[in-house]
Amino acid sequence: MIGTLFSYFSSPQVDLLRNKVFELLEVHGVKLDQHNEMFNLLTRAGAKVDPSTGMVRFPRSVIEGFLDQAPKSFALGARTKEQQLPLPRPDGTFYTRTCTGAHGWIEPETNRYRKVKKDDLAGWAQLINQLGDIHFMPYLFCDDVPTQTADIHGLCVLLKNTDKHIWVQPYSAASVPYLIKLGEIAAGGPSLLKSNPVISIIACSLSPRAFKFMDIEIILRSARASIPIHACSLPGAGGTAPATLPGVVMQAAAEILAMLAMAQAVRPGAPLVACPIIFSTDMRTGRSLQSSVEAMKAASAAVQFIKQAFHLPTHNYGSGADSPAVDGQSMSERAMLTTLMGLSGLDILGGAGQLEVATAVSPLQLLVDNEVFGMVRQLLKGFTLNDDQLAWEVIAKGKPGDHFLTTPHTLRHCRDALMPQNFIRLTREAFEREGSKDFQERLLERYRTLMVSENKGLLQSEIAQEIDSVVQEADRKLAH
Amino acid sequence: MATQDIYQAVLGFDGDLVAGLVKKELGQNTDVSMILKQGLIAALDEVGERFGKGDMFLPEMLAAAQAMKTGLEVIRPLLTEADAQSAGTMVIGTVQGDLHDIGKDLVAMMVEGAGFRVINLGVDVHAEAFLKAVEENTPHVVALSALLTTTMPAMKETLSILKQRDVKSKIIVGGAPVTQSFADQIGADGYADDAPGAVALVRRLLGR
Repeated sequence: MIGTLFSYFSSPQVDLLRNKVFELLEVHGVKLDQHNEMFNLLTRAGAKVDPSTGMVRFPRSVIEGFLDQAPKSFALGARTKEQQLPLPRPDGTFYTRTCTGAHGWIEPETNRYRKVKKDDLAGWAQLINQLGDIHFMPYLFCDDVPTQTADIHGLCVLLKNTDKHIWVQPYSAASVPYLIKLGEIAAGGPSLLKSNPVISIIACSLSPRAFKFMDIEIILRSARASIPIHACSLPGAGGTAPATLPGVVMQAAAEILAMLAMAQAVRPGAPLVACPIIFSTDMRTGRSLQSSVEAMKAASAAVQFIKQAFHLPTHNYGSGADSPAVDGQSMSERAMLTTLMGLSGLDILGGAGQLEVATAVSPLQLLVDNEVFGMVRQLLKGFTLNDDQLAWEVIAKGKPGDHFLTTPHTLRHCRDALMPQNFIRLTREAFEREGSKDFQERLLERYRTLMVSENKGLLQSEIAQEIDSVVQEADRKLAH
Repeated sequence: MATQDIYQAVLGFDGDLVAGLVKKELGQNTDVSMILKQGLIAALDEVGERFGKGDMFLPEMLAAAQAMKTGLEVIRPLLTEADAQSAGTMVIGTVQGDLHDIGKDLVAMMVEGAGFRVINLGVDVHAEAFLKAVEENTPHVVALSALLTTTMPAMKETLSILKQRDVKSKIIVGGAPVTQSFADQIGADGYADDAPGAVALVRRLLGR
């Protein structure tokens, strides 16, 4: 891949924006919930902390120092070596992950909407295990577990059902120690979790420019445990961020750098991924949108800016739709988004399978997203201009007006092209002969086939039992 | 009609003009109740209608509500007890564990604009704080807001505690993840999915 294939910002614009981000952090700062330990760590690291108000200002030199020590490459681990994910991706393209935290499930057989259950989540993992262009997954919000420990139950289900990397979204500060404990058990112990982080974790800002106790705790504990942190700013243009997109980009970058500062203050070298997940606000209703042109554009711009200005690995929505249904709108929205974010140089494209602004998922939609990810990765791979690729010999020695189908060159390369998984290339006659099955019917057939396969990601029973005991303890202490 | 100028000033989002016109009308002994109902509340009803049709956008609705509020502040000391209470009282807050307030504040502004007295408890409000506000204010309506799936149980818990204490207020719920079926499930008296809807709901529940 040739880096970012297009850029919204010129170099002078990147410099201007960079300076404004530093100014915002130095002069105006951010507000933290009361957290004495983090206040002390930040003060020791050179930040200006006012414990009475929670306001923290970061001198530019302090942020630049933190940026220098933040790693620009590291790996998201997994139970098996082949599922480990070195960041940035060595081939220059991207990794992908599915939706996090959705509570709605679109049943494949009936298209009916209902709440997610634990069995659905287990099946979701089983499906994802078989999709080669989905690299890691977070859990969904299951309706049939205690609300107070829904995150712990969610992680438990995934740890038992997949050997791919798992992204953890804590729902409360109290859950965090249990979630980390589960990660340690799955990895084989705290030191193995450090060297092979089978889980990574989300921390979020409370836009604009504030941080909740829970997210400060997440950063503190995860940095200590060497769990990679995905520092997410989720501003809504016109709502929790300004209506004008460059301002949103600036605010998101500042919030992410504040999280980076906290992580580095806890442990220099703590791995962190920058996630400027930008929404726009529908001015007619106040609803947050992920796939409006404005949201996509700002997200793309933020990714490009962060990569150019700060050289951090980046993560954003690279799929998903505002549509609540698996329909033409969904396909159009996510096709634009995946292509745009791929071209922006994004390292991790998130949101596979999600609908209705990440509040619902569809296994059938996931099948499409997996395929589109593969297609966009192919689009991003550059060209090698050697004799074989130029087909010099074949062209130079071929007869004008002849064809290439029977040449050894074509024979050698006839399987280079990506073969479709869900898309058809039939003539109309053949399509009708095969029953004129529309896209959803074909997706459902493929889904059924995949779901009868054995789940190869299952966890050993002894480790599963240990995980269960942690979940039971969490339920006893947190769920009431 | 003089109150028509006030009405138009609210629709023009000009709070200073609204306040100025209200003062002018008071100086000319225009009935306070007429200023309130035909100038200010009527304008906000129009705003709600236009918003419902998609002709007015959220920031415009907020701006109109703000403009209306500046006029309301001028006449508030002069409102008779009858006028002040004629619509009703509502307590509103975002439930425990939830810090989101944009939607809740919009509902508060619109309901106040519709002539109700609104006590806004803010965010992360524990059930006991709702109870205390109810005991102190005897509201006609208690409105609970939540923006997170994880804080919806707090809505259920708050409602349950209020009902256990035999609170007579109508209890309504709203927020992005909240649905009519959730409202029915937890025994709420009503649900609205936007601010004008909340105003209409409150009026309907109180028979206004």
